[in-house]
Amino acid sequence: MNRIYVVDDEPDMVELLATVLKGEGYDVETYTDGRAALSRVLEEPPALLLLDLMMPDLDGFELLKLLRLDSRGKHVVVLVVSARTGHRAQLETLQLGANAYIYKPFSPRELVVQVRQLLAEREGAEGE
Amino acid sequence: MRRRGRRGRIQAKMARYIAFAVVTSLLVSMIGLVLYRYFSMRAAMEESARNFATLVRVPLVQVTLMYGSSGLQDPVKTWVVQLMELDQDLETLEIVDSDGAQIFAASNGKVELRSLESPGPTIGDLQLLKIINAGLGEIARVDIGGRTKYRIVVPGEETGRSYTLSLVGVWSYERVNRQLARGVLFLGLALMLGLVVAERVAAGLSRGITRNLEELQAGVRKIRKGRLDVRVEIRSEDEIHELAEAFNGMTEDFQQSIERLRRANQELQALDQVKADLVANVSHELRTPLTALKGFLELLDEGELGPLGSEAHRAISVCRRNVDRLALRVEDLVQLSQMEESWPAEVVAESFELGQLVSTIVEIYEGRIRSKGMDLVVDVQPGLPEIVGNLEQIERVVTNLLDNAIKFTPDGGDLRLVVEECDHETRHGILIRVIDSGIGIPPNELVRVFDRFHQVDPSIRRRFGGMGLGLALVHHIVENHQGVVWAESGPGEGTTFSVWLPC
Repeated sequence: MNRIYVVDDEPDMVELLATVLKGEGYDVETYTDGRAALSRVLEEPPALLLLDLMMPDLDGFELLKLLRLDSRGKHVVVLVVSARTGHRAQLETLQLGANAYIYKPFSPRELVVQVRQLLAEREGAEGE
Repeated sequence: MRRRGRRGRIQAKMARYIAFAVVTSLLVSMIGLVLYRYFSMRAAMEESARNFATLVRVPLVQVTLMYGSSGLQDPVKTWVVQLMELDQDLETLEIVDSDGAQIFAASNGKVELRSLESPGPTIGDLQLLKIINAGLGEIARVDIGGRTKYRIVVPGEETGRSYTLSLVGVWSYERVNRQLARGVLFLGLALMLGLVVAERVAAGLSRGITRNLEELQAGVRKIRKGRLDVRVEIRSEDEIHELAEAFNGMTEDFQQSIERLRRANQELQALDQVKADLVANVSHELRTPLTALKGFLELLDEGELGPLGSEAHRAISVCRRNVDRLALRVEDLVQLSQMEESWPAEVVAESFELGQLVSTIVEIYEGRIRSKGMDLVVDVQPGLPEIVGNLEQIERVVTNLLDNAIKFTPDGGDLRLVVEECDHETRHGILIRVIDSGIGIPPNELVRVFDRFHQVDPSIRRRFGGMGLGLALVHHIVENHQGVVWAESGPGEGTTFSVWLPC
């Protein structure tokens, strides 16, 4: 079973994301604190990291940067959840090493489609 | 060179005015002088003629007696020559008998003598002949050969002889007239000289004024270049000084006003930035709760969280619809604040088919249109050319216009959405028209409907809620696509919003 970590400082968002993904049959772990999430990811990399950008203390950008600097986190698939729209924000995130992004407000169905696609790509890549 | 020409203007003008004034007064007094001289000369000549007539009376009698007794011509001739020399204005002198026949005639020093036995021609002037026959005298201005002359007839006296000699002298005004002509010529020359001199003098005098004007002009030029701290110093105490003072006061006011405006503008700019930041931040903050709401409502609606009763289902649908509209407005706000800051360079342009986009949007709105009992007619011309632009933004344009039309049309109204090929000012493109049968917009409000946050009338705002934002965004997007957007309406006639995009 694919394990997904959800990182967001908003408990309501965490709950929504967890509910949706669990409903789709994924194994979900949730974090509302960036640091705790980072150490957990490095300890046991998930199949996909669902990452909010705007967080206090260690935000999504920093987390992503630190993650990509570490050999253990280099290949983790990261889906960024962003409240910032526009090309610039998108470019920044991708430069930092995110695999994809999804804008707020999105519908659960859009999220599920994205997650499925990303995991399928990852399996394809591993298969090669 | 140009400066000299400019300076010359007022100076020359003043010089001309002064010279004209001087010369006019000169002219009047000189004309008076010349006329006075002319008339006094005339009078003097006539007086001398009259004196002549008195003086010649006795010698004429003597000459008559002497000539009659001796028949000697020489003494008579000498006398006549002397008489002719006596007065330079005396033109002709004739001594005639009582029948008017010429005995002596002298003109211009030429003296002609006849004898009493064979006299010269008789005087042709009948009037004069009558006077002479009657033995009368005459002193009068007469017209001889078209010229005015002064004629004196001295009658002869009875000497007991069979004949009486009378003297006719004609004085010419020629010398006096020549004097007048000479005077007029002198007058003209004097006037011309006076004009030149007066102009020179006046130019020199007016330089004092123009110098001050020049200084004033120099000050104005500096101020025009933006140097509002410049003040004009005029040392004189005349009106130009007052003008300079007034000008300095005005500049001071300008300086203060501009300073005030500049400060106000700075404050406004700062405020605008704060507002833009606020709008951007607030909308980011709004997106997260919207996502949570949208997500859970969708899960509820689709029964993912357990079965719902039909009432609850209906309520959830209303919530979803409203959350979607809220999300749309939030996006309008964000996009507008981004667009007003600067047109984002990263906008992706692609070519797409407008007809397809329109039918997708209409599908989304069909539920809402049906629930309000409206009738929507969609008329898309088949085979439309593709347009190049940002798909998401054009989608927002059509969405906002349709949303607007639905909102401002009462339940049961009619809506039309027409998409067709159309030229606009020689450019080829596509025209999208959204026609509603709503309350309409008064003509004076039409141009302003695209202003941000503007709304037609407060009562409409209360009834329908805001739409200023959506139309402002439409305006921005269309302009950035080199298109045109306009509205046509009349109160109670419904409104047509038209968007033309090039292709």
